[in-house]
Amino acid sequence: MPKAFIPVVFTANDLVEGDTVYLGAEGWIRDIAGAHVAATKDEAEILRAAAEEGVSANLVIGPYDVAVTLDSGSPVPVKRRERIKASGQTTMPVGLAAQAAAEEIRARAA
Amino acid sequence: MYRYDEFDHRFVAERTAEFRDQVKRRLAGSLSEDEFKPLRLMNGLYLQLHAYMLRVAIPYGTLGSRQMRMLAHIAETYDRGYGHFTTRQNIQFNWPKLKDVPAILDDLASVEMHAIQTSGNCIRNVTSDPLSGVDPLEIEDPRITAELLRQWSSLHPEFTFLGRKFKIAVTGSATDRAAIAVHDIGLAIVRNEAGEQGYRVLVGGGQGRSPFIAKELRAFLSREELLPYLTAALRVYNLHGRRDNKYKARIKILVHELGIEGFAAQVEAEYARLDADAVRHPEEEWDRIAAYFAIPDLAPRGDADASFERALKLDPGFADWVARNSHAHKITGYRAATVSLKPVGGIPGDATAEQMRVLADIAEQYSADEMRITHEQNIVLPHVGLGDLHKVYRALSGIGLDAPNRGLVTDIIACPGLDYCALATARSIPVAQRISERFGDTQRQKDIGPLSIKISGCINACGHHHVGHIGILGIDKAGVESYQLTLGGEPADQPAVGERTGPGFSYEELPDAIETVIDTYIAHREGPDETFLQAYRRLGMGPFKEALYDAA
Repeated sequence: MPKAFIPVVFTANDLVEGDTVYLGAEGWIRDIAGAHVAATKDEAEILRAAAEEGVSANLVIGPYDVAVTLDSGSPVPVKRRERIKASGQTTMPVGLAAQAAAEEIRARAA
Repeated sequence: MYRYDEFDHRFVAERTAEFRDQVKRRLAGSLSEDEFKPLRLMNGLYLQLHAYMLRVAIPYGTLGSRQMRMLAHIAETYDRGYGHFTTRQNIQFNWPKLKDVPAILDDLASVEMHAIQTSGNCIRNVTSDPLSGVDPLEIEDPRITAELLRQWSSLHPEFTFLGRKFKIAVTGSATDRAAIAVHDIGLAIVRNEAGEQGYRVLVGGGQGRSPFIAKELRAFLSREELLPYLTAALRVYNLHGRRDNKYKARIKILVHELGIEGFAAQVEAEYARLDADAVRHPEEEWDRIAAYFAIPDLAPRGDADASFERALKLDPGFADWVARNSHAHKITGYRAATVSLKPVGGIPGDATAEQMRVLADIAEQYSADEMRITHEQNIVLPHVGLGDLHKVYRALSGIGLDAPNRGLVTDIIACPGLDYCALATARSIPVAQRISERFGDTQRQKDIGPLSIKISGCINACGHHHVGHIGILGIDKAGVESYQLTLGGEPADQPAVGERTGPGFSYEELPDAIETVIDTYIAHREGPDETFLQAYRRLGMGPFKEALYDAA
């Protein structure tokens, strides 16, 4: 019996900003929740072609497919690597969390 | 510190302008990613898991306050407020935008820095001893040699497209703090029996998926032979090193396959053939460079200081820090101090812009305006007067960088791992953080004594796990992180590659496994003076293996 197809979404990095992006219905977006999910091999090939167009249109670099499961309709990557990539977060607090950390350090210094 | 001359300035300015044009063409679409990638890599710009990453060269790890302040400025203006100091004595910014990189390079050039040759199959940043020019037992400041090599290897017409990257490290002291035995070429400044100064040359060391300890290529090489001889060695590698398989392309594989005698014979034959006079460095250039590395003008001080002695008595944290993190200095009344970038539970090597600024201020005020990045991902303040040490310590406390743990169990080397790196197969930083928290208690660390833990999140071994007293290698096993332990690795003192304990441990099990190894050491050591490494060398793997696997 052929192996069951695991649904995929397509990810890449934004050419200019470098950010992680996903191929959604309206083009490349930052949030995986809005990513277009290919449920079959044929759908995946159509998405792959669309992702490659993003390369030739100079929008993104290095597109590839990411295996996902669906959690109340939202795609969640199967692999930890891709879950980390989708979260956009790393071990270092960034954004507001980083500001709070910096303020804490300043408060200690004062 | 070395200062750019007009040629250096022009070279960096031209290169920055060239890259600005390349970025412009990339953004306009006239360069494809395939065309652009080798160009960006030659300028230190990678694409990682989340974003672009810019690796900035810090030649032999030495930098001044204005340079550190510029790194802080870049972190804040173009990145997310922090940077990561690496085992190659460089700094990486994790979130730059492609459109901003030319401006970042301009900013770097304004303080005599760049990102050239921090990637690509060329001779990379030459690394060196963070206590260069400080260690009383040093024969000669190795940074003179490192700077000479930097100038020789920058845009070298023959060695810019080697079979693979090429890393050189130099030490000038009997104590190797530059891990020269795990470099493609390692140079130790030595004196021969006649009292002449030169180099002991090692070749073919490296980590990655096939770790090798370097072998001796020449027991003694005079200084004037250095560039011709290295040219011969690089030429043999460039001609005969494999290019068909990335994983067998480093010089260590060639040396291993030819044998050191076979490799050395080819180098000597090439050396006899080449026009050494055309390659040799001019003596006046050596003198010009050497002048930059003279010990700075330090105000004379006595060999004791009452305020220092008083602070040692009154502030036990300071006493711990001085005992662990300060080093003897050539000049009476001075010490070098290691600023640990390993706060308990922290991220090895990371520093915020705020921390960088404070470090720059401290260095300006108390360390002759100088800092060194260490390959252990810490920062050395090389020239601190005894009477200023407590002020420095207090200032470091204010930014959370006062951990008295240099060389202890929480002074962990870790690669960025799965949290940043496109190549990683497992997380590395959170593993370091959990181990650091587990062993964070200062007294417990002191009881355990000198012990290095080094963590890599994939087989490429950027976290130096092969030469950790305890090495940790994270791999992906059918979608689950698995961590293999190695014991007995050591980069310098009788260099050795660690031996695997057996099957790996899960992310959850790992801190307990490390604790088991350490408890086994404590139970078996002959006394507190027998270090982990000494005990392991005496005991072998047996008791550790038993404790890790038989109890279950």
